[in-house]
Amino acid sequence: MTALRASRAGFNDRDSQGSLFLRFDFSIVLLSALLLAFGLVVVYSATRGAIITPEDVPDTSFLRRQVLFVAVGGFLAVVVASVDYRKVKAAVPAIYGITVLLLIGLFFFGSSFNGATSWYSFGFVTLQPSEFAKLSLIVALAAWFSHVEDRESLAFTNVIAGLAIAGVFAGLVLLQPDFGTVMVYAAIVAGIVVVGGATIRQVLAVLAAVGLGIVVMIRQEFLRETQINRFVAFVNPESTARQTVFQSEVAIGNGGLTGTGLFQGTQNNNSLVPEKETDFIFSVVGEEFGFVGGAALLILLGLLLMRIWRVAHLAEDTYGRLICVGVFSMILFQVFQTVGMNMGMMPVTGIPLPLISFGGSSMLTTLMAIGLVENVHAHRLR
Amino acid sequence: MEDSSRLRMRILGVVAVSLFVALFGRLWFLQALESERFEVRAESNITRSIRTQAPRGQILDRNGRVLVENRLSTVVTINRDEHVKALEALGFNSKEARDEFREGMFADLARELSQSGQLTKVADLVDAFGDRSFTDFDNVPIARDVDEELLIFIGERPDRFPGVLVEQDVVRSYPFGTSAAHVLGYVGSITEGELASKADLYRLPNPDSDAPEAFIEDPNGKQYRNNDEIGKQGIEAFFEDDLRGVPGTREITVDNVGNLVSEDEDARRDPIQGSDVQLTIDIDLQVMLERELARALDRARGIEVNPDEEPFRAPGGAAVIMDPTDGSILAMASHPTFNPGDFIGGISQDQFDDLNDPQAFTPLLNRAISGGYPAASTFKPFTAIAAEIHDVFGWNFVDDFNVPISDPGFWDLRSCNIDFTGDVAGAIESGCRKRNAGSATMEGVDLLHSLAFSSDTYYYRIGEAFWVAPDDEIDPNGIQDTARDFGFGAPLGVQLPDERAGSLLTAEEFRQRFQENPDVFARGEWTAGDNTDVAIGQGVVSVTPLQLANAYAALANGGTVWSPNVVQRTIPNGEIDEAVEFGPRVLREANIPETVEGEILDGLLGVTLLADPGISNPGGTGWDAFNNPFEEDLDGAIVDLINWPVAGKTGTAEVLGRADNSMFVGFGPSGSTTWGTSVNTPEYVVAVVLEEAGFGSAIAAPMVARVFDQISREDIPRAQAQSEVDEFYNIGGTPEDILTIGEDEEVLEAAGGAQ
Repeated sequence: MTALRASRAGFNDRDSQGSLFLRFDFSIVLLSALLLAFGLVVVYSATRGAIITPEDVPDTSFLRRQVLFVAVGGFLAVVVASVDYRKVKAAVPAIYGITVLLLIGLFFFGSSFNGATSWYSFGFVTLQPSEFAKLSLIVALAAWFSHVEDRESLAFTNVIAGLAIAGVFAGLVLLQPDFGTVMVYAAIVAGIVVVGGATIRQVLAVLAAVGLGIVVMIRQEFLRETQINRFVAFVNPESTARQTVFQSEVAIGNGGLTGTGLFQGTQNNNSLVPEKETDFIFSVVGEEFGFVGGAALLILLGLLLMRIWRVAHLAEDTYGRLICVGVFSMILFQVFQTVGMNMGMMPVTGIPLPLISFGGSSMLTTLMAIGLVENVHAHRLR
Repeated sequence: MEDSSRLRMRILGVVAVSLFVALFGRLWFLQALESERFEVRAESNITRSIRTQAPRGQILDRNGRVLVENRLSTVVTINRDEHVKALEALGFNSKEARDEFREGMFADLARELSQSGQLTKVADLVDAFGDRSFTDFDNVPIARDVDEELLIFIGERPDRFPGVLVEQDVVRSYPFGTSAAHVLGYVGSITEGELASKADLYRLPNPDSDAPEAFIEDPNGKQYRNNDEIGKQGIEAFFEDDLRGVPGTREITVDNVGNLVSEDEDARRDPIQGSDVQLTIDIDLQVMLERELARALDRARGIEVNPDEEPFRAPGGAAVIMDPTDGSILAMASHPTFNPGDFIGGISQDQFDDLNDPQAFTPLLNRAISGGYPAASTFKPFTAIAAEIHDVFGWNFVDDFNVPISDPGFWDLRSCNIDFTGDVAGAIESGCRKRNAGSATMEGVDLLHSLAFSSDTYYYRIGEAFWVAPDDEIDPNGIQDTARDFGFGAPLGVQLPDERAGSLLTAEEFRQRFQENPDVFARGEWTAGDNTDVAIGQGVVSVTPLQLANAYAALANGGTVWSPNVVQRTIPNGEIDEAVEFGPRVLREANIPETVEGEILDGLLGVTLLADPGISNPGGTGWDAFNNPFEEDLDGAIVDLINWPVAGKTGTAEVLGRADNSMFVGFGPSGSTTWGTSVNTPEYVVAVVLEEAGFGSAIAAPMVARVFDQISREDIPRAQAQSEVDEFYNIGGTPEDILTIGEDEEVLEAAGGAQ
């Protein structure tokens, strides 16, 4: 308790110490900026369209929208970073409740795309609440598990209650249906539960439960996929999910060590991999920048994760640490799942590559998540 | 921070590191270890090797006029795969919805096609759509030769006609319509059987080939695959290997929906059009001969016969004009005929069955080479030659060839050994009395006059002598052997499919035939009557009109028996310098003993030159036709026989249960000093067989007289292609000026009706 009091005093001091921005972890800002720049280049390459004759004009509409998302996301990140996370803790139940309402509202007002009702459509802008729910989930779980003082013997009922917090989101999102996002939730839960102080037995139990859930989901996805395949194969035997992954592997393999060069990927230019600007964007990276580019991207992401891990490590309270762990788990899982899927290691689910894939909700969510991490970094005591 | 928290954070870190290691490992595997395999695949993903169709070669007549060419046809096709995909994109997600849409679409399409002039039923479109010989990714033709405006109409309405394309296709074109149809033949879709036989011949050049679809390639690079067109009949079939082009290939790069992105110009191989085939046929003579053939048959049908006799149905016939100096066929006509244009884009089974229906007299049959007819009296010169070769003249009851005899109108077979004096009915009943046609009596019948008058009795004697004489004195197979020397009884080797051998049995072969199939044939025992039948070209003797023309060509040229040419050369790449010439092909030299050669020629000249003396003899059987065409019920032409003499022979063939076949074979310009005519080297042989049309002298001879008349006056109307006729009418010609079209009467009617 003394530490807490001291922190209060420190907090007050800091306000007078000058700009909040000077207290950011600049390497996170730098790494994010590098990744965003890289992402813009790749998104442009994936969406500029076929340039065959001199009359063909590159399509810049995706690029321009993505730049807008980055700008808005950056602004929101600063907003998120600026208000001390501890002050917002009280608002967590409200944030959680609003998120649940938004998810429920989808069933009444949502728009469907590719068979999933996951979006609110406002004219030219669509919002995907399940993306923003990741942030909501992170702060809610962090708040919940930071309440428990004695982390060495976290009561099993508390773990169950934590799972229930995530379970509400997961259930609603499953109904959309969107399995991929639920898997991200599961990863967030796993990270926070592990670091949040569950016993090994509890962790194993949670992991088993999550694992079982994933198996069930993949199995359902698999069933769904074969049903789709059965239908699609009738029309066009080439367009199965398996074929998509294969074409993605071909694209990455085609890149070789140094890549075909920007705009030179034949798999990319001929649109042989569907969803290449979102879920399969790593195939474009792999094809046009090769192993050098793909590894560089992974290293940048890895460094970003290291810095987030470091912020979690430095965090002075459990709440802040768990927030960072949640963001860490989220980004880690998304990178592993989407890059793994692109390379044929993981099943096909629609998960964007953080900071790279085209998409507003994902971009805003990721940037706000990084804002949260910076918040924790900026508002810690020396 | 507590120790346990540090530990937990480290666990998280370790998990992260191991996941990243896995990603790096996989990335290295794909991009360093397995990269080559994927690069190859990426290349093949976007490159396509497409086949560009090579047009078939043209078929030309001897003067280079085009008889078969290629033209563009506007075809409406539907791609089932694209059709379904397009419908799904339009929101038709259930099969029922798509079927319903398609029903409406076909109704629209049938209406549009019909309005554009191509009468189309919805059922036709449904049938075409369901044609399983095409894959779902092929463009299935559903209507051909449609108005080009449909191209725009359908092209502008992809939502109404999803997956429907209007394309240009290369098809065969026949400028002279039905003319020479049997010679030219037709093309059609390759059958599984034909594909299989090509596969047996050539196999796949490379079974490991990565070719997109299976095809069979011959050593010259000509390919055969499903739905290809292939020659089915006539020249189109016989010269398939020459006419067929070598397809070209293009290596193109495409995007994911198959649109052309770029092309590898270096890898481009242009298609090579098939070789042209130049015939020996002269289209002017051909059209003229066809018209005369149709006219003669028509005339026969108009002749009334006694009610107790078989009517002259005159359903069909064949005619051949040959050049005896080199064996080339100048014209070859067969009736009834067909339109090879009907086969463009496929023909219905019903239509095809009709063309092969015996009830409709099998229009597809080329009677000139596939018809088998008794040679009848046209055979007599060869019997005479055999008699001289085997010393029958002067043997026992046979007088020498220059001794005139009296022909009582019949011959009682010596081998019957019965005295029929006074018992005419009994003689006929027994089959031992062989009679002339109409039991006509003749005086002063030597070899020359036996041909001019066409005495059967003269040849019955010879026929019986061959049979009854001891084998060591006279070879009993002498007539058949001589006939074989002149090309009867075996295919001549003309460059056309389905040439028949005809038949020419000896006593021994007759017996064998019966032993092998006792159920089919009535008897196996050869009699003197069979031999006398052979002597007058009846009984077991069956010949094709081409064989008749060819044998008379040998009589005309002194004994050279040709393997007739209907094709003079094939011309690859349109380069006349590279042409492959057939040249005259000698089958053999037949023996025409000098002793009788003059007598036979004079006899054949007598057929047209020996006037009817009006006393006891009938005169030459062709005299009326060539000299006196204007009497009632007569026909023919007054041919300038002094300057352009015609030697020939009538034939009236008996066919069981039907009216006689009317025949004439002749050649000119001929001539001999005996007859006081000019003496020439014959350049034309004409052979005609008219089924169920009566006496040779009455129908076939006048027809040949008309043919020789036009040839001798060098007044063959120029055959005009349909396009020329159209053009002619466009510049204001009148129907009367056009008399040279193959189907001129129809054209005249049509033109007359329009005025």
